[in-house]
Amino acid sequence: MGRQWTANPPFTSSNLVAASISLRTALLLLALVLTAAGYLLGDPLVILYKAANVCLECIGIG
Amino acid sequence: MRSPVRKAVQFTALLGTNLHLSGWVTGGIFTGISKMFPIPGLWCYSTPSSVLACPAGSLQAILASPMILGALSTGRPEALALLAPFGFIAAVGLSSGRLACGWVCPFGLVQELLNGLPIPRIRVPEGFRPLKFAMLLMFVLLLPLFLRGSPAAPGDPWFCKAVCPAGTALAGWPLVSMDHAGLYRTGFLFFWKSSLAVAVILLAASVERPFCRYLCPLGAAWGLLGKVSVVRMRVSDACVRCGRCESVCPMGIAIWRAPSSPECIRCMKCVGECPVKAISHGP
Repeated sequence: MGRQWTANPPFTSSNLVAASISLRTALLLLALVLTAAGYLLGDPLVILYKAANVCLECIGIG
Repeated sequence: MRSPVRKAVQFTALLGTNLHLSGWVTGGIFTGISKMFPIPGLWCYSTPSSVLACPAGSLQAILASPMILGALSTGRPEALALLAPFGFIAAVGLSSGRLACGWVCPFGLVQELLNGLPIPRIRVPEGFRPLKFAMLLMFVLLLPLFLRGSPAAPGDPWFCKAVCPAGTALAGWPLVSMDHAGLYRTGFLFFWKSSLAVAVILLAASVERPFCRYLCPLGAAWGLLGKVSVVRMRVSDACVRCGRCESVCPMGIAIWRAPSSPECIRCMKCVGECPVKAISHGP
């Protein structure tokens, strides 16, 4: 027996909008997790070393 | 959203990024731990007062580091350091596209202030806009990673070195002018970057946000990510296509035609200008 879609159809525009927002939010959360992972598991001192010393390339010297 | 609110946020961000004001007197830069963390905007970390890092500079610093090619090819954990600037840039863009350009970026504010000068306006061909995507791909990503003497040799942060006018004007000029110890020897590179910085400053007086329009690699990344950001610009069916939004847009785009344009810095000027309240910003 076929399923009845009339009561609560899955592909209404509001459902698609909600799914789109959920997907975009998941992407944002993934980016935040990756950022945290980069600081916790990587070697962010490379950034600190570069930023806490005068960047000769940035100022047009080296 | 009214413009004074945005200006207040922009000035607060400018001040918050530049708490080390004594650097402008001593000619030294801030060396605290906060320099490990980036600001959501473009601002050279060698600016005497800066207490945060530039995301574009941070990304290039890691891509140009001597260990990165080896770490990437062998899967060593040092390569995970790349996730910090990549993830940060992605998070800013995925939250609301180029909103940070319009509300936080200190260099964007500097350009807006320059644009307030009473200088005749000029028109720059629209064809130059894709240049910023080339800046992102070539000068921020590919050249720092691959242009080096040997796989274990350090690369260069090519966008900072060859292009960035913020680094020249806000870090190079003050540090070189306060260099009483003779630490910095200027040469062709300084002349080249200074010429470019002068050109951008002059252009900023005549064109709204020229660096953001044509050169900024962060704007390019955030513009692309804005197409899938959580918060987006929306134009409802109530739009009467009067064009008033386009006339006030600092980036010169027709938001009613392309609400998710990668050029939109989400300054919200169009939201306040719309006579039928057809433009909104939300999920």
